[in-house]
Amino acid sequence: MKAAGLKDWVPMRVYDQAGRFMVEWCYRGHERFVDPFFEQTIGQLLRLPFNQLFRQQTSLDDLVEVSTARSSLPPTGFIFHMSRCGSTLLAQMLAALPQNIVISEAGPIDAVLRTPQHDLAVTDEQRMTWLRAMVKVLGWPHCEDERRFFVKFDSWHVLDLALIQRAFPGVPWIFLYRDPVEVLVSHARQTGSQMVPGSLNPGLFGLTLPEASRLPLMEYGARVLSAFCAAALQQRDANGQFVSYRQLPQAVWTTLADHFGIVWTEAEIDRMRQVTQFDAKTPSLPFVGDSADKQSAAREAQRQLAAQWLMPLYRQLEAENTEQFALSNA
Amino acid sequence: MTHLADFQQQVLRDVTLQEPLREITDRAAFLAAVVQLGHAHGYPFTAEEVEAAMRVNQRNWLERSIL
Repeated sequence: MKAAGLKDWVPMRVYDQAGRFMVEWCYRGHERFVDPFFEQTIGQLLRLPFNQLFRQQTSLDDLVEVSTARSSLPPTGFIFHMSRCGSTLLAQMLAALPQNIVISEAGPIDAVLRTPQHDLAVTDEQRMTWLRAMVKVLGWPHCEDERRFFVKFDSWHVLDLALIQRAFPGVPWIFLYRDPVEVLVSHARQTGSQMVPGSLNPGLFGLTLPEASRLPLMEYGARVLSAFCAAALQQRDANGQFVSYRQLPQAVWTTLADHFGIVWTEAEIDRMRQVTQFDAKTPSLPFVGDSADKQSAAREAQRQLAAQWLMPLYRQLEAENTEQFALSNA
Repeated sequence: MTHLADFQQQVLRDVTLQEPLREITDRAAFLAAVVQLGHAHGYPFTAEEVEAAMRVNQRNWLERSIL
């Protein structure tokens, strides 16, 4: 088994090879994942000529054995979100600290969770086994300071929250949310892939593909976001906490620290505060608050869709958020 | 398997062969180093073959939304 040879490598993609799921790895050395998204760091690694010629391949089944070949950091916390709600900001704040491994919306994790779309015979047990193995290898420490490990999932992975909870019992998780009008305005300006019919199984939203394709794009998107929020509310357990965009960034060093079992140093808080000065998705640009802009830019159609599909869920998230905050301060 | 593919497998099995290649950032220098190292270990392949293999890997990454 080639596990020893993968010590300084990282899974970059999962693909189908004649009906067998395979994992492709590239060399990462001591490179930290500090870009807003996992694929951006992989893209940087692939600029190395070595990584353009040399790749390693393991099957997804072999990944299980590979994952046990060296010690991994146990997950400190999982981040779920409805999209366009500060999740990248949160991940960037955490990734700014060399003590933290932060894996943001990794393609290999998404591929594992999507395997049933490619092979109907894949069971939940298999998905959980592969997911645990993939998360383990992504949690291999590569720098001596690393001692915490966070996974930020893609927004649609909240639909698999029940399975992820079963795979990782006891791991603290949060669901980030934002005023739905502001999220819809954001997607109207730059549509996320999850908001386009066919990107996700429309059955998840009670639709067939033809039905989903006939809906106005904005309505389909509102139903997608509605499903995300409903899933989080349905799966809320003692390990989960709802966090509003409005609570960022302060929640990171207050309620979230308690929730994730972290005691931040003053130096760590200062470093995370520095990150908040910059745009989370484009760190070369300064941060500009845009809630007021999005509210004033919202069209009546967006407000109506938010009212129909999202506001009741938003109010419930807010109510449970308020309740959990009161309990933690009691 | 081709000479290049055999050499790739040998490099992946031997980290001492990887180390000098991993640090090279210039593409032309990398191609020259790979060909030289390959020939030194008995694998006669060309720089053109190396570039072709790199293009295949690049295409696989660009077409990665398989699942």
